[in-house]
Amino acid sequence: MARILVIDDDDNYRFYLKEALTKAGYEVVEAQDGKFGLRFYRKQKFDLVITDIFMPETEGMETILTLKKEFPDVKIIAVSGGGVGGDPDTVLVMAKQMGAEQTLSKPIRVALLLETVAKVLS
Amino acid sequence: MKFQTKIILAILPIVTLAIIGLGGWSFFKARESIYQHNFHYMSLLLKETITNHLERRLNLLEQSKMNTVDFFIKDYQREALDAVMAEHGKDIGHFFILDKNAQVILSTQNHDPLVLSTHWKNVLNEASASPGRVQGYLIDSVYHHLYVGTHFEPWNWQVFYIIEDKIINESIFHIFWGMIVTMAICAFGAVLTILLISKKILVEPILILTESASLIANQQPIQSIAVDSNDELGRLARSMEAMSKKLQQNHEELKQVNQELEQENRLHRQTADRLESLLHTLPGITFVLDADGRHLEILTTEHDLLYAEIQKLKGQLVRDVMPEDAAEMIMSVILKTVETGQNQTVEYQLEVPAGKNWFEGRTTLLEYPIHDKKTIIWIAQDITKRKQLEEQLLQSQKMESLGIMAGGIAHEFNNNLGSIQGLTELLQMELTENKDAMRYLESIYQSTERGVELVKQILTYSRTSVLELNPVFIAPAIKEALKMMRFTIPARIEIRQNIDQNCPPILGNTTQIHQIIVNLCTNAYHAMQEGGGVLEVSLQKIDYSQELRAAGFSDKFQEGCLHLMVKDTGMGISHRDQERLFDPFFTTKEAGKGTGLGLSVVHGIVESHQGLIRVESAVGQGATFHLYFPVIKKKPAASAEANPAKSGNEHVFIVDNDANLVMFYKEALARLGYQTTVFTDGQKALDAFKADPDQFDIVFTALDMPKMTGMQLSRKVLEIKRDIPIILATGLNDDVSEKELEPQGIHHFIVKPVKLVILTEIIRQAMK
Repeated sequence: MARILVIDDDDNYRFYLKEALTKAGYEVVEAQDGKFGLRFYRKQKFDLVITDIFMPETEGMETILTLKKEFPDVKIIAVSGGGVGGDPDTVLVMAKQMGAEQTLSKPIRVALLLETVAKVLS
Repeated sequence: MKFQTKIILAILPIVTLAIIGLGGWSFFKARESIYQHNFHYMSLLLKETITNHLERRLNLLEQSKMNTVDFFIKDYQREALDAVMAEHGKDIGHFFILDKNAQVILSTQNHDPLVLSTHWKNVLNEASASPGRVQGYLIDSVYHHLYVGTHFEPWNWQVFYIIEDKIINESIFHIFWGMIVTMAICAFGAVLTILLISKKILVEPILILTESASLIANQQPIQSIAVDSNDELGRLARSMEAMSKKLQQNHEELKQVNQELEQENRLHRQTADRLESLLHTLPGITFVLDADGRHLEILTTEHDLLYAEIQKLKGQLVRDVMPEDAAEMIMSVILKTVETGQNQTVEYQLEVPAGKNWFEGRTTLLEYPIHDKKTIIWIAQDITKRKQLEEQLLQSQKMESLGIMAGGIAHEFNNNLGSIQGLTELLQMELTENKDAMRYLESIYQSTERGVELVKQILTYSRTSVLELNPVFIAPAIKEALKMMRFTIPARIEIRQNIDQNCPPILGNTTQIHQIIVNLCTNAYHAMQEGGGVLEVSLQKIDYSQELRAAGFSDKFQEGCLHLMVKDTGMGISHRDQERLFDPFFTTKEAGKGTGLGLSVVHGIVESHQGLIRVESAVGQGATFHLYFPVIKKKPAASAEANPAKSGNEHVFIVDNDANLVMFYKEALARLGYQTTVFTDGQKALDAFKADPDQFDIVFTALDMPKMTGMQLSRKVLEIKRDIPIILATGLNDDVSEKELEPQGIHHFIVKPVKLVILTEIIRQAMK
């Protein structure tokens, strides 16, 4: 089964993503920040990265850009509930420009999440 | 009469008298001396005559010893007499010789000696009676003579020599006249001298003094008076100089005081003039009130702001003409002004003919009471408009701060609600068998769904100020939105639509137009939820006209406007509620049902679209929302879809010593369309900037860098290119504030770690 790296600083939300994906049969590794995410990915590749955008240290944009630069084949879904200075739509459009394959606006229904993940992985 | 004339008139008699006296005295002295001289001469003549003629004969007689012989005596006597007679003629005088019987025996006067007057005889007798020589005057009615006589003893003769006074007098009169003339000349000379002297020492100085006095009188400055004498006039001159000096000084002082007074006066006049003009141009009302609240004076041009006519108010007490609570408030302000002497300001609302207006009352206590009662001025200004503006400002401030918060709120809530919602869904999957648990979870899900909706509204609201507008046709967006709404709104509410598909484009955003329709229709649905009704949506183009201009449509509607109308037949909106309709979080829906943001979002969108929104409603009669958007000339671009990402094409000059970060900025911004030039060293960056400053549009630099700090770099960059926007990235612990940066020309700063979204947002703001 596919391995997914979930990067989000919000513990509860990361927990939800992990649970939903694990229930669906994916193998999930969590990272609470872009920096850790990058570190994990460099150690071992993942089939998919789901990353939040607004995070205290290394933000999603940088994570996406760095991942894409270092590993052009990486598949990324950016998720965001917006942040100071941007609403989710703007943020996600920008995330796509950074190289994300798909974007999802928080809150994300389980069905939509799984559907999108499946689509990106296929 | 002239001073000199007076002097002359005063001196002339004295001079005349003196001259006459002196002349007379001299004349008599002269005559006396002439007489004396004559007497002397006459004595000599007499003596010579006697010696030559009488004594010679007598001697001859004695020598011839015939002095006893009468005949000879008589003969010699005769001879002597003849000799004397002969002598006569050489002289002016006459000889008389009288014998012992006082008979005149000789008279050289050609008249008969016998007719000599008795007076003459007496004198001659008297003279002959006395021994020795006699002399004197013989005066009678005819003659005035000098006489000298001597007694010739041997013959007992009296010999007289007389000179007629007339002859002497002649010479004396010459002298007399000479003296008169001399005296006249002297008098004239004296007068002239007096005149000259008086002129020199009196009149001239007096004239000078007079002139000086008149100069002094005319306030002319006098340095010195040309009277140098040491006398009274000199002293007068000195004191006049001193006086003039003092006067001048006083005059100067007076002049100065006068000038000051005039200046003050002018200022007073100007102040008075200003005050008067001020009172006449002052908006609002000026009341003059005494401490009892009696209206003494009312000045205004805005009569509809007065609670009653001026004539009705004058002389009346505040508490007699105004409503009780207003009067009480006004009286308390008056009393406070009177008691403290300090100006008071009060805001109050009052029912006046112009409406229920807001006023600002300013009071001041007059220094001089009127009618012995403390008096105040009360200036009331109509601040209704300001109050309204303040309320609007407050509202827009609230909206603005909401906009700023929105992103943050969304982030938090979406994470929280998202995890609740997601985990609820997962739980539902776990508990499909447990019906109760499923119901509870469904309820949880619905509750969070409402929260999610709220966040969406907030975000839409905040996006109104961020989203870019493009020329778009809005009719399709409206149709699309209505189609969607049909699924939400139950069938008992009829939806009528009249959308003109040929409407021209406006500068807008279809997502937001969509949002407007959703929000307005949702409200309409809620208003008609109980009884059902008709929801009517129409879109028409209106041409610009005078009516529109009069209705408050500015020039930006020149090309006409699109009129979007959303009308319902629901419960309507009260006038009171209409005032606050667009306030964020204002809602009439029951708690938990509405967010209170729907209409403020609509309002914000309309505003950002340069449009107008009007509400028409009454309780029980439904509500109609009229939205007007200005039409633009331009055709919409091929890709009408707005690009919500904050992209741009400016050349960004980036400096940060963190090489990884710099590379991220470079690539991220490049992906968003920006050009970038990046440096990790301040000095190198500065050199590059110096080489071609014009190619860079904006500078983004970290503050904390080794060698050259971002602040130093910014200053140098600004020296090269003033006005270039600079964004300074500071760490949380860097002790700099906007206040320090502003004066340096650095207007934007961003706290590290920098988020791309925020950076691009600030770049967009800085490039505006």
